Amino acid sequence: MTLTTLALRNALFRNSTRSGLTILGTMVAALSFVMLRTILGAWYANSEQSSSDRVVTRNAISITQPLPLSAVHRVEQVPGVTRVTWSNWFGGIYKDPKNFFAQFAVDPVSAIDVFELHIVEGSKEEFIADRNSCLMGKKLAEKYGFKIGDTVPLQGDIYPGDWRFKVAALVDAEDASVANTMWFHWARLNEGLSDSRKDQVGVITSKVAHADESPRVIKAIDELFANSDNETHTETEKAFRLSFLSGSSAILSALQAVSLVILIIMALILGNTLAMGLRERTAELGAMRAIGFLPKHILLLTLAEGSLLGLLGGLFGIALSNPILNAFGKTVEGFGFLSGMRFSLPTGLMTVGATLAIGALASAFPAWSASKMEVVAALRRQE
Amino acid sequence: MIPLSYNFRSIFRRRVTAIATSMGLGLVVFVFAAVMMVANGVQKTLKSTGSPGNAILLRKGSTSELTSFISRDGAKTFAADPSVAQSGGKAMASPELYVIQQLERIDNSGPANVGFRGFTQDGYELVRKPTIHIIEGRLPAAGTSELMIGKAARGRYAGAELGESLKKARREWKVVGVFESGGSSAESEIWADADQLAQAMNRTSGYSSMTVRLRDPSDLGQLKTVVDADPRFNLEAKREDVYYEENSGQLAGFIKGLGIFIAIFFAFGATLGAMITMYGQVASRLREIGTLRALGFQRRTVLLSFLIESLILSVLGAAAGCALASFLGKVSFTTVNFGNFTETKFQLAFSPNVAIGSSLFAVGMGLFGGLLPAIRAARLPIVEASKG
Repeated sequence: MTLTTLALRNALFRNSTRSGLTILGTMVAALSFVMLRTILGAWYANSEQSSSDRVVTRNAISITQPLPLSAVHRVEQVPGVTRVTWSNWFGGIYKDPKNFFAQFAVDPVSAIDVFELHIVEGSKEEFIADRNSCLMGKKLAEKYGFKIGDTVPLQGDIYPGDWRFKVAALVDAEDASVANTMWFHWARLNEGLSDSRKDQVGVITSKVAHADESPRVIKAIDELFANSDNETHTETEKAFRLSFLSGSSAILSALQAVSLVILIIMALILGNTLAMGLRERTAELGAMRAIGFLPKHILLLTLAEGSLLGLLGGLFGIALSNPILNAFGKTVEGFGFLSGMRFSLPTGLMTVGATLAIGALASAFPAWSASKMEVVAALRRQE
Repeated sequence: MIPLSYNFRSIFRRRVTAIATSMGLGLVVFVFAAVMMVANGVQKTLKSTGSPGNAILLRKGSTSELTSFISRDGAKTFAADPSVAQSGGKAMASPELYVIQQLERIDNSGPANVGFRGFTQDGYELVRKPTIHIIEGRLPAAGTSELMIGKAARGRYAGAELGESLKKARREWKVVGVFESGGSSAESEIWADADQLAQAMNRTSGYSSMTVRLRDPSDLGQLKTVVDADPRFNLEAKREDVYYEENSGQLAGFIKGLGIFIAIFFAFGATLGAMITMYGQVASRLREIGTLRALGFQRRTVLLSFLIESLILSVLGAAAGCALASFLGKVSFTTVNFGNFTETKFQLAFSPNVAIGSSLFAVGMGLFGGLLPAIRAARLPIVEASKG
């Protein structure tokens, strides 16, 4: 029997209830770790999916302050800008405030171009021709059971009143948020508003010929409106989406901290198991030392045992996380919140690495004290 | 019953293991308590922003002041309602304009949405003065581009400091005062003259909301009926603190949901930790268990004894977790309030409810973790156990 098989046998078969529970505990910890990391990743992923050849212009005062429609035509003149569209966040309620999903009033033709929307069902022409119609993200339509030709009633909040839109087509795009969004005619919104609120747009999205031209275009647009009644703030679409996240950074840091706490709990479970096992085998370790094994062998033996338990827990954890995460991701997407939450290999590997390291770390102290034990005292000790 | 001292001594004999187990449980209790404190803090911060003696008038169906609108006529009409208290011949009403402006954070972490509140001199004197205390500087003068900033906003954004100025909406706003408001969410706001703010933001058509002091809190029903029945203005009246509390629901609910989800996962891990320890205790005390049974202690007495031991571990964990969490009572954090999209500073709040809730949580973990090992101990045949 080699030292490795001894470690394996000690870790797994000596006290199989305890080993099983320890692996189970490590597995749960690894599972929660993977899930927290994936949630954190998904939080940022929405901004990563945005295209860097799109820049977003809005009023410098704040996102809630509109720009005049005339600004759109001025942005179109900026060299480097190839296509411009504009949109207003509608923020309407479908039946109940809980049914939250994004709705935008857009200019139909340019929006389909700029946001690269693919019509997967229904007709683009019909949407463009009928100003009472809307485009619906595919997942959104699935969630609420909207079909082509259905009428979607929305209760306006920012734009008070009862609004109704007919679903003309379903769309999909690379960008996961698209599948959970609804678009309708900006002209339809505009005609329903009082004079003081007419001809105002929320944000202007411009497509830039090359991504590396974005910084110059951003500067040119903001300079165009500098010192006017409507100063603008322009940034890449990615930065624009990230700015919504920055406000939640406290929650994100809390999640980061919590994912570290789970590692500590894992270390405590593993360390406890190892310490118990070693205590029970004190006499055996004494015997090993007596027949010539060196302290470093004892140390290695224990470290191997801890790493093995950690590794197994981690592996089981990520094996289990794959189906759970995919199911969880789908549910969360159903709420129209955090899209694209899936198991990813790098996160899985990182988790296994972490459990392995923690297994070794947790065994360090028991291993060290076991290797330092006096042979005679160890042999004499009865438990 | 087997004396409790037996359990305490057993735990003491295996103190390292016991500490590791209790610490694991304690960390879970800590996370659970922290989540509850954050959610409580959000509710408390927002609720304290409103007063039960005040009513707030908003556009019917609007979910926040941001999307609410009340015309000047509407404000005038309902300020004169008999249910609104009067002072020195003036109605105690504060029509306010609420807008968002984007300010650069001073720590270079990018721009943030900050709530700006336009107030009137009368509104401040008659309604807001008891809760908004100027701690430095003075009240902005009427008709000027002067500002006063809440304590929580101070020093957080470029220019948000007494004596400095903010360049926003093509104006230079001079900060002349700093106010505090008992830790409420108003402390994260910046206040300016309503008319000046309206002009700068192109919002001269009216206000966002109006807060009135009720002659008596019981007059709310009457005001509600009058406001609801008037077809000209499309408004509704709510008790002010209830309105703010409703506003906290989304954020508090989100934090609670996420936190409880995490806590359940963690609890499972810690329960397994307790189970491992208790199995270890049973295994190393076979002979003791045999002796206890031989002395005449019944199976269920042994079961109870081991369960109690597991509970002691969990109570130690609960105490450690709560003690750790109570230090968080001084902590505050700033995040976006989903109700109105502005940055708001929240104060964590430790309360007896948090302590009771998280202790019960710990006891649950101890019971589940200890049950199977205790059953095993109770089931041991006397003869076999005595052999050790």
